[in-house]
Amino acid sequence: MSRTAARLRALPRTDKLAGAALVFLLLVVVVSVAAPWLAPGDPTAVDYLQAALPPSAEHWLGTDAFGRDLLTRVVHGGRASLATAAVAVALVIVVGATVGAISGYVGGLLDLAVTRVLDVLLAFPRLVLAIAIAALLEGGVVGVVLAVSVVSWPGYARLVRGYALQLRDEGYVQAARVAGTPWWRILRTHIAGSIAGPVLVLAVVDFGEVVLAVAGLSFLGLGVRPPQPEWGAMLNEARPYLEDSPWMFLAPGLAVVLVVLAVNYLGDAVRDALEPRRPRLPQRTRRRGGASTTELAAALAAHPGPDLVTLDRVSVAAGEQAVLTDVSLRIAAGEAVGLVGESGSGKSTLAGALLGLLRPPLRITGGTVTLYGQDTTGWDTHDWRLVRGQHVGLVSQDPLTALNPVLTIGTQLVETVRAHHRVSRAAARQRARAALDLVRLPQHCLDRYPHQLSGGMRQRVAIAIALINEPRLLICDEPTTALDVTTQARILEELTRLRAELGVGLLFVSHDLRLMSQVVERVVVLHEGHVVEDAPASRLFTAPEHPYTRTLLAAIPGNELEVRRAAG
Amino acid sequence: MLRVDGLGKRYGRTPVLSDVAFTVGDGEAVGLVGSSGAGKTTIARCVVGQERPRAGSITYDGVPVGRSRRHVQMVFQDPRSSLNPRWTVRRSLREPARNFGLPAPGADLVTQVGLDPALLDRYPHELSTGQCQRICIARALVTGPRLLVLDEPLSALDLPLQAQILDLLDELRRERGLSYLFVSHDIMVVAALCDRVVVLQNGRVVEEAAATDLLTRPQHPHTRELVADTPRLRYA
Repeated sequence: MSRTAARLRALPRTDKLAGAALVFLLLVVVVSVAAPWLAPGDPTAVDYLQAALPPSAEHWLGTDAFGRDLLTRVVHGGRASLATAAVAVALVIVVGATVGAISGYVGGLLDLAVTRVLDVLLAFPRLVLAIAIAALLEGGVVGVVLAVSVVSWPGYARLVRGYALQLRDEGYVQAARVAGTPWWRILRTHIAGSIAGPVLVLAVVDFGEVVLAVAGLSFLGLGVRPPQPEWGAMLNEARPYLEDSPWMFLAPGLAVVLVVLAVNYLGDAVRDALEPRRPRLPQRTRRRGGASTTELAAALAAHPGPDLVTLDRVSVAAGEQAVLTDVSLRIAAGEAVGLVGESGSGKSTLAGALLGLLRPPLRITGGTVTLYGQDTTGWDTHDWRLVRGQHVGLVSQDPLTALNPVLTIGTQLVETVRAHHRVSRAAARQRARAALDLVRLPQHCLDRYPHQLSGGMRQRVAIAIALINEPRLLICDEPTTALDVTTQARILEELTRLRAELGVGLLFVSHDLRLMSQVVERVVVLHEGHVVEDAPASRLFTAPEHPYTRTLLAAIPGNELEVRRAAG
Repeated sequence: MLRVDGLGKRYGRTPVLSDVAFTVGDGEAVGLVGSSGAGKTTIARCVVGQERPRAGSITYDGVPVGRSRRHVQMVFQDPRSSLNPRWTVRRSLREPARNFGLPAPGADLVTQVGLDPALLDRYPHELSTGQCQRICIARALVTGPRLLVLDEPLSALDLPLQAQILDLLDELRRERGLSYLFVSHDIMVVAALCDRVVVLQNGRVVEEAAATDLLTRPQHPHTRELVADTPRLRYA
């Protein structure tokens, strides 16, 4: 993809060391390819008069026991080492990727058979197997290439199989099948295109290891044979002179170390650059004076004021682009307010601003967000953590991603309580039971994992988590989008009932005015970052003032006529 | 016309479809409605030959659907994921044409789905979700199909966009004499586009009626439930 390519191109600039490694490797490759011209001397010509000379102006790296110039031999040796490694890597990629992709995509019995073969191959110790194969083929370049390839391809195949398995269920692959694309063409176009990037990265990362393996086999006398130069073979030749003439050992040794080091670093850098999701540590905002967190906690708990939330002319921008402009919004205690707008209108950004969840590039550029009478400007991470989950609950769109798949429902409820209250596990569990009762889920759900529950039940759990610390404000961001109509209706009823029972304030974010009309008392219409209408539900739904609100109402299936009537 | 007869399917031991039968006549739009898990998507996948039923037959003009791929195409729920992110719109549109040795579609097809031909050289991430869905509809039309299977094509879209796509589908149907099998959990949306609606519950057809009748005089208790649960504006 173009974004990936751009990130790769930017790599040498963002990571200077990777740039240096790349330049070094290119240099090594150029020198190796041009070896016959750059180092015209014969790398195998013996001259005992020049034997075992230390590095000098004439022989930069010294000479070996046969009087051969070590620089010439290292350069020519690089040619052999790198070419052998490159051929081996290419072979491994082609075989590994092809077998892996076919096995993963086709699946069934073929996949089963391939996987078993791979398991067996991967169970052998790599080096021992490589030595055995090289010995069996009686060494030589071909033997080394085959030996290294045979032990390396199963790893690739397994990895590529995993990718292919994922891609098989990808929407565009399914679409291609329905469009009549034959399986081999899907493999050649969609699958190959998707795995090319990761496979190439893997090849770079693995190249270092292959260089080492080739050198290792040659060192053992199973690869390139003397007198032909090769780094591993040269190391072997230098072995007896390690004490007297260490330069014989150092020259090829350093060459191997430097090349492998550069390749590994570059491989890691490339992989990091291609990782689409970088771990982003939570921003530790510094407080700018004001009350301490403890004082804030007391103030929040004792909040006497009538308003839960006040947004006063708040603007949010992403870089230079305005996302929200002069947005003002008030939610009174116990009030249910709807926030409606299309995707891209800034709804979710607004909800995020209420919880201090805006992440760069998003930032508040103007106005103030007041929670429970406290100005949130300059709040740090601790302050926000005090609010989230305790004073403001959040129910998000997809309960499957909101819940942790490896923890039971009970653990997640207990965790939410204990994050804010110093209570015993037993007491927290007691509250978890009460919370399940509140959302009318049976008690046995405590010991269930999210995937064991239906979509509707999961969303009830999300609501229970949001309400367990008895916040006075609940934010629901498209809480029913992932559910079917029947479940949606039940969740909406649940929200209405809970609101009546607990007197909790509600901010209901949605693109669907129909849902909104079931739960809220007042509706705020957001359009391209501006509040275009803010009116009681009864008036907004019957006599909308802003043309955009009328468009939204007209978009309701089967509602066009009624709106036309209402608008006159 | 599409004829689904005695369709049965199970995953492991769980039956997901039992004895499902319905037809979609030429130029007709038929809705397939039910809650999640009712088997709607399984039927859709069987109709486009992506899943093999355990029992029963699905034929298009008497030919088993596996062999009439060109005439039966599908539009998926999530337009973003059903376009290859590394491909331009042009390349995505060319794929089905190539499969059947047809000429590569061009600007006129894109114009027909209400888009600017300039979008042909864009990548999916440069398009809005609504534009992506229009491209997916265009792609489904490339082979000149006679039946489109629409699997929740509006669920990923905001209401105003849903209305626009509904209009587009209605227009295309009139212009090209297409038939639709429209799968959705939203009975209102289905009623807006379809002549006839088939209601599913737990893999069985529980009711089949004209769209207007279904909304005003639902017969089966499950249909009544679905109609009652369909969100509507409280104040209208």
